[in-house]
Amino acid sequence: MPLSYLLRRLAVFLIIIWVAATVNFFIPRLSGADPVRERLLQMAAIGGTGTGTVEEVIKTYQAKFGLDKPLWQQYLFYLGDMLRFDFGVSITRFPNSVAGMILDALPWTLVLVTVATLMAFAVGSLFGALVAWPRSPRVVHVLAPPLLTLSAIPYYLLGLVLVYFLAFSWRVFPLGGGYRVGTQPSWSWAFIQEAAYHSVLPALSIILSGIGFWALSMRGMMVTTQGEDYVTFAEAKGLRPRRIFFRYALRNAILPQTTALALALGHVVSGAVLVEIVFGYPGVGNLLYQAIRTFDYPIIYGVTFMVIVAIGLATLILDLLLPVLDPRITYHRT
Amino acid sequence: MNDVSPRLGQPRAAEITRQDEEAGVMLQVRDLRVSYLTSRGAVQAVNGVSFTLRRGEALGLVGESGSGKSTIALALMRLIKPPGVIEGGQVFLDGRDILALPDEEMRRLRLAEIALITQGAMNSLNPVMRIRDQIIDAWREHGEVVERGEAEERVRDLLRWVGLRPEVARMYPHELSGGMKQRAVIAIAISLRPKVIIADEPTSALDVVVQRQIMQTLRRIQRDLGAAVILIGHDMGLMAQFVDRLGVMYAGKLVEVSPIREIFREPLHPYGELLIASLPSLARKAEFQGIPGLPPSLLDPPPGCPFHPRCPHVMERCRVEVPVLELKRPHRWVACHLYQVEEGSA
Amino acid sequence: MTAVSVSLERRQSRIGRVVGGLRAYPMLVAGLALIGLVLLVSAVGPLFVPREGVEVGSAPPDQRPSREYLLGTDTVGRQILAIIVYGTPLTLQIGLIAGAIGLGIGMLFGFVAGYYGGTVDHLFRGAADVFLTVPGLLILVVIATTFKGAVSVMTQALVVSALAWMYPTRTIRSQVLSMRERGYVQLAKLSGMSGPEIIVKELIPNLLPYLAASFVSAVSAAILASIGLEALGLGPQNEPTLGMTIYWSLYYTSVLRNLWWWWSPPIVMIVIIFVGLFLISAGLDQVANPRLRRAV
Repeated sequence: MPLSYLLRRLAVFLIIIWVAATVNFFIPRLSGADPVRERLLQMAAIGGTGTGTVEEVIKTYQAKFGLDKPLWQQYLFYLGDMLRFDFGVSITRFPNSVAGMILDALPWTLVLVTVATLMAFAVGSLFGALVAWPRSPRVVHVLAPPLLTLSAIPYYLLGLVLVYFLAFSWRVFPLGGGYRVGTQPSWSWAFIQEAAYHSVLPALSIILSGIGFWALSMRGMMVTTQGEDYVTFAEAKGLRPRRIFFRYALRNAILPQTTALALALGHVVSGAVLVEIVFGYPGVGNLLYQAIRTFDYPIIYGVTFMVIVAIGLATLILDLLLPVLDPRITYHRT
Repeated sequence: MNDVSPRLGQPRAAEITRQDEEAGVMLQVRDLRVSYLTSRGAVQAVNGVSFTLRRGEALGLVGESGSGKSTIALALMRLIKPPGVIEGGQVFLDGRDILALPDEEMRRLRLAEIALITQGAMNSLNPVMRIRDQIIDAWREHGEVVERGEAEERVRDLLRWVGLRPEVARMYPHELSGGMKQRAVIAIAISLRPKVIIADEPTSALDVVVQRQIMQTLRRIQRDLGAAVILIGHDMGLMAQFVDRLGVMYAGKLVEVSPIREIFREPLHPYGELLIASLPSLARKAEFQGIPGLPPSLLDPPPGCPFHPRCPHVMERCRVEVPVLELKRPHRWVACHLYQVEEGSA
Repeated sequence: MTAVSVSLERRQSRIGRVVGGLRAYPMLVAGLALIGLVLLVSAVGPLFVPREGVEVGSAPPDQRPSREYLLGTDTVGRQILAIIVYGTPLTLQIGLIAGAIGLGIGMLFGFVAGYYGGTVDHLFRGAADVFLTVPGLLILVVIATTFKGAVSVMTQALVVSALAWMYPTRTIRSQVLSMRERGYVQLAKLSGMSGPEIIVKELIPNLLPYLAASFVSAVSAAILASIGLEALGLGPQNEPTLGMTIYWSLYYTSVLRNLWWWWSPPIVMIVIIFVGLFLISAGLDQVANPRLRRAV
């Protein structure tokens, strides 16, 4: 793979990260004051038994960011910290480092989102392709409307409904969390099983909602592809319908569909975050939720940045994968 | 594949003319009707077209856009999709009515016995498959089992036959020029040595030099194969150089079918006359002559002869009575009230 | 025939044509019907349901649906029926305002990028792509937590509109790119029309179905983002919007306490809105792209 292509894609990746970090830096300060500082002072003002801890936090904070220094210097320090993934310490759970907390929560989210999204994408795309194909079996057309309707429901609301019916009314699945209360996370097989069991409902809400979305998108692509001349010519060649479906129609429609996946990642992750809240799932989404409730800004910014990095990375991988799928994409164009 | 089962659409004996029996008729189209169902009604794209095609013959079909030429091509391959529908007629390929065949049998006929070279080869090749794979998969799907080595060689021979370098086999379509893509499409179309080849405007999107080369290749291949060819287009000059007989289409109907030289020498149907008159000539300098008026709406065609609103020789009869395509002169079929059936033509 | 009866006939036949036309797009009609239902509830509801029901403590808490409280009450004594009736229009309002802003920005960026091309194109398109990649909700969280405190419906709409312009920009841009080379555009250019003139007089009228579809999807995205924000608790605190209702129901663990009447009406309403918007946009897609229509 020519170096220029790789470098160009990497550059895009870095720009996204830089934009994210900058947005994270400037927006909070738009209100005039530094929210973290405000919050800390607020906590200090409340006083009481927590004062000693808060003062330590303030001292650490001031030493770190040097609030007397001019803004651009703060910005540079900030960028340096971001590059080292140093997000500071949590205000409410001092002295836990934000990076450490994120690292604990990240695997849960990563596994849940990746597995659920890939499943939804694969099943949904195939289903959508079949819906668009005139010769597909009847069951496809029967299942289509309910699945498409499901796609209109945001993940987390679907999650709510699932929790009520499958966890509360019928105790088929656990009510939430990543594992039973009291269990210690470990790499043992028993724990993994338990975690998987707890992940079924959250994953299901993402998958059911996602299938409808990807099916719809794929259907549109397939309709366009089926109208192309090469499909007509494939039929004129006397190829069997199954071969035309897979090698001529689907194979071409999957290209814009993959691009759509790259673009939808932000949306997917946003939804997953909310799903975690509904299920109390110990991922970064829940971390964020708790942080919002207590205005624990370092965590909020840290999570936002990490998620953007993760998405940027995933987009980069997809971008590098696309030329493998589509021989028309030469490495020399933007 | 060549046996004519008595149950599968064998034409009734009384209707086969002497000419058919003599000349080895490959394709016989009888009263083909194709329409497109739109929300505003049915559009009659092909309105009762009949013609025969003999082995080794080249028949041209000319007409303005919307005259139904490409629709005929698709109909003959049974590739008409909704909202289009073949409403009636019969198409006998080597004696078998292919319109009455079940889908799977028709599939097997495609490419093996009747092949289509599509309009605009720019898009006819699958962008994500190499050329050789697109040639080979057709063979596999028609029951020809070939192992790699033999397949590679056959592909190379085929490419050479259409004038392409053997390296093309490994390439993707986007790496080829327009002319090369067209040759690749031709290669695929002839790879199973079909009896009938339909070429739908094979050179329209190419520049003149490449056009000539492609047509020469096509003619050479036709002679080598002994196949019957239907060439669809709107370039009269190209027709003059390539076909034996020419069919003129107007508003979904065939208005004249004549040997090519005779139609140029003395076009019978007024539309054909205007078409030829509109060709620029090196011999005399004159103004550009178009054909006044617009093609009729196929949704709501005019009564009587569809050409009558634009016809310089229109008579009262033309406004009410639809002319029938008949053999008015020896070897010349015209649908026009100007001509009576001459003695000794039928 | 008199002039009056002629114009009446003409109007009737035009209505007939519109009705006939609509019949060809069942999805569009179904979507409009659903949204119409929602609008009906918002418009007519306040006539029958007193606004006090929305206030905390207006009724005994945790009541199941009964004849007195049709949809029951929540843990702090609000009546769910009133919340639905008064909260739905708020959610719609946010969506419409943010959607309109999103469409406006999208049109500006999309037309300029598609028509003028070059660096401007790269800039706008790049911006849209970057913002699409970034998980918008998180950015909104950052924005919202900064300006914590009194977030009004209007502010919410403005904040959410930051996420609603990307798809319209992309759709409009790609349409303009393909239209730019068409005959009538070239003709307009040759006859001396200026860029903006061409955009307004030639391109926009031809893109109306796409613009309408973009608007609908912008509204949909805006409502989705706004409900997401609210479910996190970052919406207008004192307004009974649908998202905030869900937030409160989660906050008070309504699922575990089997207060199903608290969270299900908002979800039903949200689903109706989204399915309706989705059907409308699918229907508009059919208007714009005849190939997607079913054969009549």
